[in-house]
Amino acid sequence: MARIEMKSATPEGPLVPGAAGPATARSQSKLPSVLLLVLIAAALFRIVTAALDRGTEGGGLVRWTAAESAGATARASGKPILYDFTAEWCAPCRVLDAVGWSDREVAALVNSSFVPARVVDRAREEGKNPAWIDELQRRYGVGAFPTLVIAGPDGKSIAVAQGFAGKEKLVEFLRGSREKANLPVAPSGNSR
Amino acid sequence: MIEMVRRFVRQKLGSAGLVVALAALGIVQLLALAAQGAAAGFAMAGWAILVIAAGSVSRDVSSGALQMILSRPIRRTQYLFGRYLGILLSFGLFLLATSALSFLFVQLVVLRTARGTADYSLASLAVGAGQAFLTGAFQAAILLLFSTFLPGIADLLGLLLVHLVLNLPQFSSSPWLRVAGQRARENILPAVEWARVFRGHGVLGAATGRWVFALTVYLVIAAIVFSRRELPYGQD
Repeated sequence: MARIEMKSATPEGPLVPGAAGPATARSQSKLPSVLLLVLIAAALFRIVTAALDRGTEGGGLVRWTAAESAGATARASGKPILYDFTAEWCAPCRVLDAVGWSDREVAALVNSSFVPARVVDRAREEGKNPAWIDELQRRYGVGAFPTLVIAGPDGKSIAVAQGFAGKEKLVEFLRGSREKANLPVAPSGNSR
Repeated sequence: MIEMVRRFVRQKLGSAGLVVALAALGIVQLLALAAQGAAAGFAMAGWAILVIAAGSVSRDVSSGALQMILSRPIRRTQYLFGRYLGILLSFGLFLLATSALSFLFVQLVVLRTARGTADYSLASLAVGAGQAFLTGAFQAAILLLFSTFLPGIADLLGLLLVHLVLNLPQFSSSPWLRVAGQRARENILPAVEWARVFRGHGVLGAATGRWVFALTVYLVIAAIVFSRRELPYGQD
């Protein structure tokens, strides 16, 4: 494991301090292979976590943003935030995932026009929610799931929809809220 | 490597200026925690990591001590990661001491003389300290990388520059630039809500993945740069 540093004189000069000529310690170009393995493991972890995040925290084809950073992303992009207040035990939420967020037209509309963020309620499973979820639910008056809230980059509520009444109603709601926010709907297929 | 860790801690504890600076930061932190409880956060820890980690490699290079160390049968990566672990150990000790003293101070003084309404629980304090430790560990990795090729404490300027360059786009009028800046920040300086992760949420989240990957990349690049560098003797 340990490797002895070369101490003999180099063509540039001796390695002894104080001796004549430029003294330098030679480089070690060979790196331990364990470093490469650690880097590969970290890269795999990065890929897996990104995929898991998309699979569990985000449903369907929508590219969900972490709810905590949605405000900052919205302010940076100027797009309104689409909050999807959901819960794991909520059956209509699963229908929304399968029929709404998994639909190409809906996903393209959401990805191009909004900063989508999911807020998963954990009160039933863990007794209480983290403070930031409670705060968001209080701010937008969320009392049932699923609830969709369109908020401006400043956090001000623009439109709210409770429940899921099918893909057409969902598209209508999204387009309507976008117009309400005085922002034109970007052409389908445009990515953020 | 343990020898390198021990050497780093000895070196830092032997510097009176550094000990005084850390003690001052610790006292300010203690007072903030005593006044506001865990909600005060560990703002001083952000400064402490800069004090501990600045010039961690470059000072050894300029003094010639590094060349003497490397004359022994030790790999440069062992030296480098020894320094990093030394930084983490010193920083961990700072946080541990500050948290423990704050907790004792609150229990023995604050809560006996006044009715504190702030969150003084040990768990909240530990979460705050853990959050500060991981944030500091990330900053230390960037400082270590810069310290492998920048002289003196120029690594601090390098870190400042990284933060500045990545935060400037958010003040731009171009939405594309703002989004690009946001994406760059997410990947180069990823922020993780550790308090949430400690409670079991988002342990395998994308933010955690980005953080682990970026930290590893910084350390590996530091190892590559440092291993390939020709080191001059005693030049400052």
